[in-house]
Amino acid sequence: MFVWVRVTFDDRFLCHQGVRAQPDMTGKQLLDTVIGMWGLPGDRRYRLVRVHPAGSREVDLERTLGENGVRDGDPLDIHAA
Amino acid sequence: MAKLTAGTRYKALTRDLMWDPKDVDFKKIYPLVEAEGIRIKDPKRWEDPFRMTFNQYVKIQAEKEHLHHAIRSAFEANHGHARIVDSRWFEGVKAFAVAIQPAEYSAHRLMAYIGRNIPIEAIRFATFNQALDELRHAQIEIKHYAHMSKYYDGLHAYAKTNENLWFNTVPKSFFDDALTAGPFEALIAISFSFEYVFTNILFLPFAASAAAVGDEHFASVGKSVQSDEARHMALGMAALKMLLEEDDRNIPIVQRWLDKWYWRCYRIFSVIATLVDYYPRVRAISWKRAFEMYVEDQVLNGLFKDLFKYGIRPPRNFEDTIKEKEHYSHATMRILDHYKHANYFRGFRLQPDDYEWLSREYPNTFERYYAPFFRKMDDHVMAVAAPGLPAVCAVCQIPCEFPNPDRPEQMWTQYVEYNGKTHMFCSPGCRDIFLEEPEKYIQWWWPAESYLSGEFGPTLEDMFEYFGFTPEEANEHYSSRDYHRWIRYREELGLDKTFQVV
Amino acid sequence: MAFQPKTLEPVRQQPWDWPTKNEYEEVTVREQPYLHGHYRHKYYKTDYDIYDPRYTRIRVKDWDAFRDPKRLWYETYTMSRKRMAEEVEGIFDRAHKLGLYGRVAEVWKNFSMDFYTPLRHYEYAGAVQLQHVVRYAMGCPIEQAATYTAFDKQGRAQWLSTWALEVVGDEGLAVLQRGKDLWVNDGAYAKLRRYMEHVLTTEDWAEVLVALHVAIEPLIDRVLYEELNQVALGYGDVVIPEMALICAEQVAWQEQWTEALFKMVAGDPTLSRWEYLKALGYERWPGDYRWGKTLTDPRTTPEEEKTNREILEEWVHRWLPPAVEAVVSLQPVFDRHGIAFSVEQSVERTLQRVVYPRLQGMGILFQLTS
Repeated sequence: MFVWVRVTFDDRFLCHQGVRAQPDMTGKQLLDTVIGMWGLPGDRRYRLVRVHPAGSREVDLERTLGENGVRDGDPLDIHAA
Repeated sequence: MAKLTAGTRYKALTRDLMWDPKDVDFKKIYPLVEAEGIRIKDPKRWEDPFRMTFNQYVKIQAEKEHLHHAIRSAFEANHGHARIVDSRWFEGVKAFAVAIQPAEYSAHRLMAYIGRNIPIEAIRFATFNQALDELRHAQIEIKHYAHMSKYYDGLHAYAKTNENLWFNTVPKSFFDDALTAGPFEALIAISFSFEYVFTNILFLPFAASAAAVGDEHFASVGKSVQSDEARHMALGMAALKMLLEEDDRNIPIVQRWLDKWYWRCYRIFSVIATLVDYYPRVRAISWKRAFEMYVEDQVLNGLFKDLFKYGIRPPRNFEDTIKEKEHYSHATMRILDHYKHANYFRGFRLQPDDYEWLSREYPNTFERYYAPFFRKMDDHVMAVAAPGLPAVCAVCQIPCEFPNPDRPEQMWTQYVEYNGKTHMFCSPGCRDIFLEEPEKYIQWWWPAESYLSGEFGPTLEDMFEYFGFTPEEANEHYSSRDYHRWIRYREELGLDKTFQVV
Repeated sequence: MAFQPKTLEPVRQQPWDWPTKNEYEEVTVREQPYLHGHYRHKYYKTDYDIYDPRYTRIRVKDWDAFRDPKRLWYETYTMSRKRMAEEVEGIFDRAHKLGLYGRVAEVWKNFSMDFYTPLRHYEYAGAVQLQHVVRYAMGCPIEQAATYTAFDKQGRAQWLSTWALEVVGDEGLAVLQRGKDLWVNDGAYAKLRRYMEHVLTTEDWAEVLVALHVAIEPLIDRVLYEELNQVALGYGDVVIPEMALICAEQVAWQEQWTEALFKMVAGDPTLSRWEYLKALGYERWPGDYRWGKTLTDPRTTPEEEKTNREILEEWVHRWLPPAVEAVVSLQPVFDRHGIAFSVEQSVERTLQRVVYPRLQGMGILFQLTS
């Protein structure tokens, strides 16, 4: 499974980028993965939002992607909290 | 003995050669003729405007070949590649090479498919001539790249890049879309939408740019190809009118195809916009002006007014293409620079004269929305590199990085839920195409998805093996080995010497 | 060799990552993409890829390994056909100026119009079905040869038309109309017409090439463009033989490349239709990630059980006997005009001298039992 992630406050991102993920990883784990991968400041807090044609939905960082309803190929936005 | 008039003679040579089969079913010979809902009553009255017989064809074409290859030989023998004004032009030529050349080849196979499956002999002879023309274009283009490839990076792996590289999926998926459509749709897609509406803007500005920078061979490629296109455009127009006049029930079907293929063509020409506005250091014309001339004036204000009497309206979302003209080349160049580390042709650091020209030609948009991005490369050419593999549009396959022309600080990206999945599109134009045929577009080969799923192996090196080129062939032009070689080559020939006259 | 400073030397001696020996190979090899077709057809073979080895039963280790013995690419093709077109125009022009057909025996004129004019439909039908081959054959080297051959056939159909319209007689369009009427309604042409109709419904592109260039065309083209020359000259007609020499040049090439192709095919022991991927450098490719997801997995299609040679043999058995019958059945056209020519003997000669040895070269033993 993978998801498409965009860091909304980072100008390297003009669109979403592909990230490998697992349905049973938590939102927090995914966030930590991309913070490490893209060198985002570690001392800040972030929100993860699932983008969907029917509207955006906040991802609960403590629950798994699967529990959050995040599917293979879904786009996600990272915002600074 | 009777000498016939040219028209009667042409008809006699090209019509009435097929007969109504007696021992097999007509539909077994033409299994696709009814598949698309097109109704043909009396196709015999349809006229091929060009009236080219076998003898005329081979004589005219051999003459063109002779002229073109003479120019090519001179270019090759006399270090033509070293004599242009700036070698970064060749990065654009590479883009054109590996994107357009395979498209010409696909068009060759496609025209044979159309000619075989549409039981109208006048169309068949015209499409078959075109099938040969397209092979010609593929070959005169590849001959140029075969020579260039001995001196420059990026071209030697064209088979693999065409099969596996993200950038090539843009033109490839376009022609694959036509190849997998029914024969009438394919005819409207290529002969009308591609040839009639857009070929001028494909070959004329680019050939003019080639001449402006001193690439004489490429200018000849462009002009020689374009000389065949006049025939193809005439075929496209005649084919369209024939379908519209044969039966009223064809009109909504044709409208649907025009809606789809206008936008589809427009989107693949985004790269052409950069070849006009960015890669040549001496510009012949801007994309904006070329678009106004060839598309707005000739097509939207001219052609579609004529088609109004058939009940045909301008293609869906055409207003968006007009709105985008001030953004198109910049947004596309930004994409190319964003992913230049994984492409077989390079981006480049803009020079002061570039900023000046772009600001002057695009006073409303360039400085405000795009120049800051390009200036970041001044300190480090990789400063603007994308951090990963992009989400691309599920129709045109270009990364979803086109700004909304009404609010240029935001992207135009559209999302659609279909079959349990979220699909992304670069624009409403591409989204609307998907919504008409979702079952087709979910079949697309998505390079990023393929790379992430491990189709080519787990590492970046594995991926490059399937691309066929090395990371050194990518990135930025003025810091590349191609540029340094070109400079040394010119020094050796003494091309940069200036001579004083006292 | 002239002195060349190192800076001016090319960085690659070969333009592409695969070796090429000449201009023909430079513009031909690896032109067709083999991987990652984007969509499947909406209406035809909706399970198949755009370029798919399953469009034919034969399997080849490397589809791009075929070479046209004449190495025709667009430049050399149009150059050589320009010469032929000018020669044919010259022949017709001289015939016209010298009033050659004023001296030709009426009986031959009548026969030749009844014989050559209907056969433009035969040439045309071949051209049409070769466009099917151009679309579906694997790789550029094979379809490129088919492309030029199809265009040649269109050309010959037009030469025959021009000859009938403007050279031999003065009837105008009626002569072509009568030719078509004979082709469609005359019993002597019925078997040939039926044969071509069956060719037009044949889907396997390699089988189409067997039906056309291995079975029927060597037989009929020998009559049309070779063996009738002497007969024509006997009646004072030099126009037909001169035109026939040029047509025969085209026909010789079409048979030559087809023979080269099927020799390669017959000698190829490859049993898996996916083997060619190795030759392209994709031996480690696990298959398309979409297979089984959005597309059916093509590898689940059962493999062909026969060898290539057996498949070719099957096709020869299917097409050669009706081809012989179709050509032999043209005899009444000769007889009713009193032209002394045995089609059966001509066919027998061609079988013995051309067709059987060629089949033997492919390892196919075939004898027609009369």
